[in-house]
Order: sequence, then structure tokens, then C-alpha cells
Amino acid sequence: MRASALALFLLAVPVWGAAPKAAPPELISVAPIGGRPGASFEATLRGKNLEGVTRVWSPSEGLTAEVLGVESGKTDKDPDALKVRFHFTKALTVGAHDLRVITPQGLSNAVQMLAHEQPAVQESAEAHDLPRQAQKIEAWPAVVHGRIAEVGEVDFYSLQVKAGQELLFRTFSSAPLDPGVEIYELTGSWFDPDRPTRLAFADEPVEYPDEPVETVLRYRFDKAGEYLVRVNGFWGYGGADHVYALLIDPAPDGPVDWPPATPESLWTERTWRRPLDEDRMARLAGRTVAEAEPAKIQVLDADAEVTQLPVEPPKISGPTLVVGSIERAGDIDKVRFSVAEGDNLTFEIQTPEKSLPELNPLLRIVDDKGVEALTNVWSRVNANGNISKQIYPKTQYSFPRAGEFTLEIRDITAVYGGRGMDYKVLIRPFVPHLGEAHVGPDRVNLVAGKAQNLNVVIDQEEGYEGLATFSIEGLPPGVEALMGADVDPDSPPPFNEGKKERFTTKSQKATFVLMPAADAPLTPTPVAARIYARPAVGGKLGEKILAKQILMMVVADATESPETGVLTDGR
Amino acid sequence: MLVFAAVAAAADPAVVSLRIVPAESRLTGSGASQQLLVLGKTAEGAEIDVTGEASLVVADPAAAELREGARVFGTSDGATEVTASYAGLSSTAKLEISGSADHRPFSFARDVGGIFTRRGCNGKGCHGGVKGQAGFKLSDNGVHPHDDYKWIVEGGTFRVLTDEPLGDATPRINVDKPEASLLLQKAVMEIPHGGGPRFEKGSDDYNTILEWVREGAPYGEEGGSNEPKIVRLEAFPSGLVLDPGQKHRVLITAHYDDGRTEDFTHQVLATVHDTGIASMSSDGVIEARQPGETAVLVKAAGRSVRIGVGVVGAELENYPEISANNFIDEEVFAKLRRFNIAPSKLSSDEEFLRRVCLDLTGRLPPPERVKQFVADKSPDKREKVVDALLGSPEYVDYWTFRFADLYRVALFPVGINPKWTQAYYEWIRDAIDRDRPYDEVARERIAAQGYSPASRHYLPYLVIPPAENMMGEEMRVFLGRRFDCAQCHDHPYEEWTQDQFWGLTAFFGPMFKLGGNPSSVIFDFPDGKEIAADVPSPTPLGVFHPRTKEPVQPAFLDGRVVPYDQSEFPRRELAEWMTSHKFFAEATVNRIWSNFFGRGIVDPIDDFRSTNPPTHPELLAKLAKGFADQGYHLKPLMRTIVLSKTYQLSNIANESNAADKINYSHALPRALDAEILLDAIADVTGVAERFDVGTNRGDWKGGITPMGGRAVQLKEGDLYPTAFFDAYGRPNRFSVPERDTSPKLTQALHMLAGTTYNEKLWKPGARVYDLVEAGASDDAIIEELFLAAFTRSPTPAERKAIQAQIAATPTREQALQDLQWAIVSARELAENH
Repeated sequence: MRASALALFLLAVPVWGAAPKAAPPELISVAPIGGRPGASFEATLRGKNLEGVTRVWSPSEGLTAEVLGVESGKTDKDPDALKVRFHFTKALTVGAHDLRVITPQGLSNAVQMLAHEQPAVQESAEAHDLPRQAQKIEAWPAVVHGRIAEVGEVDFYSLQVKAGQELLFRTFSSAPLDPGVEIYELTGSWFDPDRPTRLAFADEPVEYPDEPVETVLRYRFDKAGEYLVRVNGFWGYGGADHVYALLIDPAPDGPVDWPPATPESLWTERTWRRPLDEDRMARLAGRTVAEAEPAKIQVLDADAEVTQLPVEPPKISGPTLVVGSIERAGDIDKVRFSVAEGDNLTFEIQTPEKSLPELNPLLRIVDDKGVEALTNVWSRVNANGNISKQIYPKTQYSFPRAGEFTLEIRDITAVYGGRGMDYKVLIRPFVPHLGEAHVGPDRVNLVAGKAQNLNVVIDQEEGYEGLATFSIEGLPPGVEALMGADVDPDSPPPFNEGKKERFTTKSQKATFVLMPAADAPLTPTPVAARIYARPAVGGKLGEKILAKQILMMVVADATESPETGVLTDGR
Repeated sequence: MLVFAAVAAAADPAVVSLRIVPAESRLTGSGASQQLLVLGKTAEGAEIDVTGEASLVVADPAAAELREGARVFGTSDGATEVTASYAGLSSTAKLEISGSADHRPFSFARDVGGIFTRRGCNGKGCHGGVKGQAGFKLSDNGVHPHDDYKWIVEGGTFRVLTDEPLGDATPRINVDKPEASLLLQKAVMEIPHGGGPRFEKGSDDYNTILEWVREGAPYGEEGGSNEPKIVRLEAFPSGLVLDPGQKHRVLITAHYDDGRTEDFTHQVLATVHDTGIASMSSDGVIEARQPGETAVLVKAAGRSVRIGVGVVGAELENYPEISANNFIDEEVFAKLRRFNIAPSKLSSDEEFLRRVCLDLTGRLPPPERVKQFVADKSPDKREKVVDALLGSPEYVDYWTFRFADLYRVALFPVGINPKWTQAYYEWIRDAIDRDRPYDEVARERIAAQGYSPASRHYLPYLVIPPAENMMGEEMRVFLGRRFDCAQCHDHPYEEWTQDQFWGLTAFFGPMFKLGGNPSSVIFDFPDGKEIAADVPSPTPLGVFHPRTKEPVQPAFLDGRVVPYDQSEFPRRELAEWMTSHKFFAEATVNRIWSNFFGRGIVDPIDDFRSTNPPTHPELLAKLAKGFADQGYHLKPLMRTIVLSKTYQLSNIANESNAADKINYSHALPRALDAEILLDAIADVTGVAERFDVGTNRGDWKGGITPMGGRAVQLKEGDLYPTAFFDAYGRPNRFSVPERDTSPKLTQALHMLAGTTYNEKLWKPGARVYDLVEAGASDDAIIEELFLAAFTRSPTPAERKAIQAQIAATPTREQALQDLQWAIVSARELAENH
């Protein structure tokens, strides 16, 4: 398949013999944005520097593509368009798959391609901006593939539904598009017989940093009849890269998991959704050089205890996972615990279902006089000279005196509570360990004969005083990784950062110098190099910890003659 | 506007009975007096003031004596009577005198402060202004006598937000040389005084102050907690209806907190709002001048009371008998009858249809609908069309637009986050669409927390505004009151005090935002105490009284305190209190009413105060009660209003009502709002407008509204910049919008050269273009255009003139373009009438 794809490419793309552009490729969008496993279909990838594309690449088994040709773009607004034919095997996993392209300059960024089990419906080429032009969707479940191709464009689809039918509408889109979905009934109005009445409107469930912009709308149709679904871009933005897939499906119960989420594979330390379970101590021990067996975690059902009020809040000792829920607005769950002078405790919070900003867990620890000793709120002075407050999923504290304390867990607002407002709070002693690793790029295009730095930073949690060793495995042939040094940029002096030590950590940084030999073979496909960290405490080494996997390619120096880089298939 | 406690009938009527007001008086202390009012009742039941004409006699001259006509002074302790005689009738009032020999202790507040009020020294426009006048500050209307005493005796220049005076302290009195006191010299103009002479040298007031200074300027009677305080002033009558030239005396009574009363008629300052309609003398006699309505504001001792005065026109012969559709008509027509104003006739079908379509949906009726409606002979066709409009999607568009204006849906006032703006807008739209109870919506907004759409309005420019600003806006929007004046001082004309202002403000004091700018979650510090006060705030958190510097606890207007540590969420309690207060329903119905009549029953609609009373208090009360009784739904309220005959009166005035602007005797023309006018032009021409996204600063460009969109559907007030919107007064919603629909030169220029008026006239899809293409005659085109724009057919004269103009124009296309331009530029299109 790859050889034939290459052959096709060589036939279709005459620019290979010309001087290639110096920059690696960049992808912006793919349209249509997906298909069914087992399908084969043509699509267009838009982006920059696509003229030399040799391959469309995905790490997913069962997703291949052949290049059909490229149309060079003339401006930033009109970038290159690469025609490809995708082949999804029947075994291709349903979900979102990374898709990249390869040129002699290296590997592109990823765009996402969707494999969905529902039948695909392609948007009609006919205009369907107006209700009367709506494109009929005959059956569902279905995934409609469309594009808001122009500014101000909207796409109308019509559905004939039964009374009482409930449908889920969910989008999957490419980055520039921020889709919204509306449902209309063809009522006409006293003023305009063609005017439909809007029944529902939806945008993303919550607009919040790092949350997806995809629209989720469930709607129950009380009456049988024809209804319209309208897809639009926020504020009327649109263009060739504003591509979407719209799932229309009988609404399943429970949270919408479409496309299925990919589980996090790397360690995260300060995220609200990281798992806090009974094996947490053991997992932490795996990130240091453990001298003893990790302590066992007790589990306390806070809500069960709270129902026994007005008795005293339950008292805990030793590592405890408090599991509870903000059952109603204003609900406050409490537990008591005692500490000795100098005890170091970490308080970790997980929000398994709802999270910020719909659940904002405030954790307060008050002493026996009701005086606040600690919270998970970090107060500091921001760049405008004002106090800024934020809650954090992890807080660490050294108790200056012995005593009994009460831990309160509530939502910081007085209005949120109910279903999905679950939390887990782990109270445990400090476990000095290596925390989260931070490695910048997700791909590295190495130019043969030219060195490139790769910085690795790993956090030292809870007073970790050991060392971290770093190694890279699986480098492309002809590439060495040597230790180097980097220069930290100057940064402005901070404002009053408050009790920073409770919410942040120190870190260790290493710099690898990636050195491909001048004659290093060019890589036709990306190589997944793995970066490891390893704790070293008291002369003992701990287990290897995968810090990051990075795709690497070795490419020819574009400043030299194109003939110096010989493309091979690598097999 | 008027509470008709006493109604004076026509001049020189026959009096059938007589009474003295007050019927019983208790005169306590040396020099105590009571002004008497003698009222004669006519055969029609009205009472007229005959005090000046009646003869009065005290039964026991040793106990009391009459001075200045009908003012009776106690001279020795005991009981006696005063008898008034007039036109063969007589009436008696009882007097009880006590403490007549007791020397009344001096009180700075009463004896000197009263002079300041009476002489207008401590009015808002003079030394009672926020910053005082010429460096000398008095509390407005003498509400803070201790402060006044300090400024006079110690001197110093006042500063608004602190008790610390500015500059050197120069006393306003001279104890060593009392006659050389600035206080006296300025008042009698011995030295220049910007306020002119206040009294004459040797007058009672001059002598009172002089004697006080000679005595060493004591504060005198402390007025401590045991001392009775004046809690209110009462006017009798509280309202008057008079014929031009007629006079009527009013009595002012001070009520003390121990239940005692005292005649204050001669110790007040009275200000007539419109002196062209009536005047009031220093001894309490109101004189009617010309027909109209006005109010008299009476102030004394830090309190005020308002007297409504109506002067009726000439009696109408053959006053029309009009049946009422509902209680609105009963109230409105009853008042018109009292004032001898005849209502106009009922509007024509065309006039009604255009008006009700614009008022309920912001949209002109299409020509076909006009024809259908006019042709419909069913008696309930107006009800039917009202119900159709209330159920239309255009109703949702329009009222979302109206409330988006009021609630300030715009990019910058909602956190500079387009998605927050959209969510806030959609929250309003959903409430309108489902006709959610308005009290529920209000509570949701006032007590908004977390990340809810309504909470976003507490983040203008991404920051939580000062608590006093938030409080002021919520009060204005939901209670129709402007408390802003009380921020720095007690309200000049109301009972609102600075303490009340800061008590209300304290409900908003614990608000804070969690997180950075893109993720701000609104919360209130539990117990009013800061969470994680690890880092000292550059500005103290919480609400502090600007004068006392003490932290303030939340308190309702009635003084009930809601301590932070005793309430889970004080702001929610405020929301409950606000929406259950009668102010809420009154302010809401008044706001809705104004949409249909161009003015509120209280106008301006968000300026309820005793000195700006409702023109129809009973109507306002009934509307408010009905609104509350039916669950605070807006649609039934609107339905009641538009189905009243009052709403459906013609805009054609008659002789008796042409000058009336406040009694709803006829419909008054109202300029269409910018968005509505633009949509109207688009509808008439048949060429829709599309709007480019962006601000005047050039941000967020790149989007455009979808085809078929309308100006009324635009969500953000500060986006979609167009010259048309600027010219016709679209507000940017940075503050509670007050639309400026007044004519401007830029409007005329836009008509002449603007794209809106000139580029929709001739293109495929345009109404006239398509009619021409379809072979329509000139006459048919003229008819269609008139129906589309004015909801009526042209008159024969108009038709003839237009046809002549078409014939005289070189090409038909040019003629029809000119005709369209003339129609869309016409005032008749640009107004709802």
C-alpha cells in the first residue's frame, strides 16, 4: 500500500524534483473529517507546505491514505489543498485518530480524523442556507459531514421524527470552526409563512479553558413531523477549513462519550480528573525509591457519615480517601483529623464527573477554634496589582503545631449541588516523588547533520530531594542524544505570590542535544522515541518512568541540493 | 399623581356643611401653635377651603388666642374650643393646652436647623449639596444636625468620603462679636453672599441665631436616644384638584416617634415643581394658575412630603360616554373625566394593527395581513391578532432585544468573552420564550453565582465592579429606584439614607471571582470573611461605611440586618426580598407599560420617588397586583395592556386633549428604535440587511450574520458597527441604556446618502423591483408600498400626487426608486403612532 501510494504520489505531484520548501508541513483541516470503518473515500487536507507530501501518516492501525494530488495555495487564506483517498479498515477503532503528513522536510502537526460506526451522510453541494432548502436526512443514527464554507453560512438539515422521539446531536469539528446547533419547527409565523420557530439552541456544554467547543444537544420531539437542524459557526465565521461532523443519534442515557475519549497515558499530578484510588500510595511509591511498603489508604464515604448528623463529623487517621458528593447547594461535608507538630500532609482532590466551573471544590481546614488554617485556594497578586484567587486540586502543608482540625469540603458557590457533583479527597502524608514531566513538542524533525535541543522538565513533588536521571530510547538510526545545557530566559520579578509552596513544586530540568549524523538515513515514517526519567535517592535508582513519547524524523537539509536527501521506504 | 384627599369644586359653590381641620389639637409647650383649616363641603361632595372667609372664635380667650387669621396659640394650660362660622354654618374644634409656661429648651437641630431648611440654606442646590457651597457644608434638609453644628462652630471645608475637614478651620460664628458672625452677615448680605439675602436683620430668624451665638452657641437639647424624633411629615390634604385661580391651604404635621404630633405648617420649605401651574406661599396656601398637574415638595427637619396639585380645565359639554374594556380604562378614563379631558376616538383597524405589531414584535405587519385584518368582520379580531402576536417567534425576538438592552447584553459589559455574552443572551431569550415568571428571572440574576449565564453580567471588562455599582444597577433595573445619591449623603428628596445605601451595598460586598480572566467563577465569601487571606489585599475587601469607616453588614431598606455569619448566602436573601417587595412589581409593570405608551406611569421609568409620583397611582397598583397575582408572567400583562381601549385610542387628538402628554387621552407618536427602524426599512424594500461582526475598534472582524437575520436579533450591543445604528441611537449598553431617539442631523445625512436608504431600492429580490418584473401597475405598487410601510392605503390625494410624480419622472425605474426613498425616509415610517 505504501509503495503504491508513493508511486501515485510521484505521478501526481511533479514538484518533487523542484527545490522543496524549507519548512515542514502544517495541517489545518481535513474534509470530510471522518468516515465509517471499512469505508474508502476521497478527502482534502488543507495546510501549508503540502507540495512535497510523500505520505499521509497515522499511528492508528487500519487508517491509510493515498495521495492523489496537490493544489498549491497562493495566500495564507488559500493554503495548499492535498487530495487523498482514505481507506479505513473494518478493524479501525471507532474514535478520533491523529493524522499527519510527511514531506521531505519532516512530519506535520496532527489533525484529527474520526472513525464512526454510524452511516455517513455527505453535505449536499446544493445551497441549504435557508429553511426551505434544508437537506433531508432520511435515517439515523447518522453522521453528517459538512462544512461552513463561507462566512455567514448556515446549514439546514431536515428530519422527519416520530412523536416522543429523543435525539442527540453532537458535533466533531476542525479547529477554526466553533459550531452551534439549533432545532427548528416548521411553524411559519403570522408575519412570514416560511419562518420556522426555534425550539432549541446549543453550543458547547460549558465554555471553559481547555474544554472542547463541540456542541451537545439532546432534544425530545413531542410531536411527530418535520423538523430542521441548523449548524452554524459562532458569530458567522466560516471558511474552507470550518469542517464538521454532526452525529444524529437516538439519545443514549448518561454522559455523551462520542467520539470515545482516549485515556490519559502519562502521569498527571495537578489535574482535577486524575484518578485518586486506593492504590495511590503505591503509584506514588513507584515514582521514587521507596524504602518501605506504601501505607494503606482507608476509604470514607463522607455522605454516608454526614447523614448521621448532627453527630460530630467522623474522625480519620492515616491516609484516607474521602469519597462524597455535594448533594445539594450549600452542602458541606466534614471530617476531623489530628496532627502532630510538623506533620506534612498533602490534600488531593479529584472531580470524577463534573468539574470546574460547574463543581468548584473548596477545601478548608479549620482548627478547633474555627480558625482557617489552610485552604486549597491560592491567593496571590496578579499583574494588575489585584488579588487573584484560584482553587487547586492539590495542596500541601506543614502543620506548625499539633492539634485537631476539621476538613470541610463544599462547592465555593452557594448555588451548585446535586447530580454529578462528586469528589474524592485524599489526605495523606507527603510522599516525595517525581511528578509530572514536561516535554515541549509532540514531534521533532531533525535535519541530518544538525543538532537540536530537547528540554525535559520533571517536577520534584512534596520535598523530593533526590535526583532524576533521564534517558531516551528508540531514537532514529544515526541519531545520538547527548547531554547539553540550555539557557533560561530572563523573567520579570514576580508579584506577591502568596503561599506558592502549597500549590506548586520545584522541578529539575535536563537538556538533550539530539545529534543526527550527517549521513544518518532519512526516515520515511516517524519514529516514536521514548523519554524516561528515573528517580535516584541515596545512591539507589528507582524504576524508569515514561515521561513522554515523541515522534521523530530525520530529514535532509533543505538548504542543500534536493538530491542529497534520498527518500527510502525504510524497509 | 394625585391622592384626592380633598377635592375642591368649582368656584363659589354652595356649601352645605363645615368642618375644621384638625378637629382636635394638643398644644404642648411655650409658644406652641396650630394652623387651622376650615373646609366647606359642597352639595357635590367636594370640600373647598373657606379659611380666609370664615370667622373664628376661641371659646376661652385666656387659654388660647388666634393670630394671623386661623393660627391658634396656647396661652395657658387647659381646654377650650375654636368655632368657625361661614355661610350660616358653623363647626367646632377642640384645643388642649399644656406646658404653656414651660420654657422650651433650645435645640440647635430644631431652632437653628429649622431656619436653614425654611430659608433654603440647606437645600441640595445650596449648602446642602453634596459638597456644600463655597466651602460651607450643611446636611441636606438638616438630616445631620451634629454635622451641621460642627461645620458652623468649628469651621472647615467638607469632604465627601471622610469626616476630616479640608484646610484651616474657620468658624462661621463669632462668639465674642455675635453680630460679626459670618452666618448672620452672609444671610443679611452685609458681606457678599452668592445665595443672596436669606432673611432681614432684626427678623425672628436673625434674632434666633444672634441670641444663640450670644448664649455661646450651645448645641442645646441633645436629641439623644430618649428624645422624640420626627419620623415623618404629613400633608393635609395630600393632593388637590383646583380650578385656575382657586386657593387652598395645606397643613403640615410632624409626627414624632413617641406618637406626638406638632404643627409644622410654618416651619417648612415648599418647592413647587411647575410654578406655571401652581404656587405655594410661605404660610401654606397653594394657588392654582393654569390647567395641568404638578407637585409641591415640602421639607423640614430632615423629612419631606409631597403634595400633588391638579388644575382642571374648563368643563366640557357632551363629555363622551366610553365603556371600559378593563380596569386600565376605568382608571384612565376616570381621571380624564376629572380633568375635563376627552379621550380620542378608538383607533382604526390599520392604526391599531401597526401599533400593536410594532409594540409586541417590533415588526410591521405585511400587506397581506393588513388586508386580511381590515376585511375581517369578527368582533374579536383584535384579541385574536394580539394572541397570534404574543405566540409568534417575532415576539421572542423583540422582547429578548428589549431585555437585552436593559440587561446590558454586550461584549464588554459581559466579561469581554463572546461566549459569555451569547450564554447571557440565550438565558434571556429562553426566559422570554417560555414566559418564565419574571420574579424568578430577577432572582436568578440578582443572586447569580458560579458560572451561570446571568452571573456574567457581574464581570464587565472581566472584573467584579465596586459593590455599590452592582447594587445601584440591580435596584434601578428591578425596583426602578435610583439610590446613587445616597452613596455620599442621605438622599436629598427621599427617605433613603446613606446607611441604607451601604446596607444594601453590603449584600454585594463578599462577591469575588475565582480564577483568571477566561475562567472566572463568581462566588461570595462565606460568612463575609475572605477565604485564604494569605496575601494582604491592596484594597480592603468588604464594604465600609465611607463616613464611619466601619464595616457594614447587609441590611434591607426596612432596616432588617442580615449578618454575614447568619446567612448562607445574603445576596439570595436580598433577591428574595427585592422580588417580594411591592416596588418590584410596580417597577416591572411600569417598565412594560412604557413600551406601549412611550412613557411610564412613573416617568422616567427607573426613577420612582415620592417627588416623581405616578400619574395614575391606583392603576399602577392594580397592574402590579394583577402581575403578581398571575405569577409575574409578562405575556398576560401585555395582553391586558394592549386590549385596553386606552391603548387602542387613536393618535388623532381633540381640542381638549391635544396638550395632554401624561394622561393617555390619545396615542402619542414614538420614534422607532434604531434596530426596529432598520428592520422596517428592510421589510418595506424587501432587501434584508446582513451585519458584519466587529467593534468600532476593529476587533473580532471576520464573521457575518446569516441570511434572513434581522437587526432585532443581534445579540451584542457593541458589535456590528454601522453608521445607521450610530445615527439612530443604538446604545452600546455599557451602562443601563437610555436610548436616544431624538432627531439628529446625521439621520438626515444618512437618508440622503446612506446605504440603508439608498441601496435597497432596486435589485432583484427587492419588493418593487420584483413587482415591476411581475408586471404590476404603478397603482398596485403604490398600494403595496403604503400597506407595507404605513399599514394603510394611500389617500386619493396621495395617490394622485404620486402618480403625477411618476409621470413627470424620465424613467419609471427612477420614479419608483424615488417613491420608495420618500416612503422609507418618511416620518410616518420612522414612528409608531
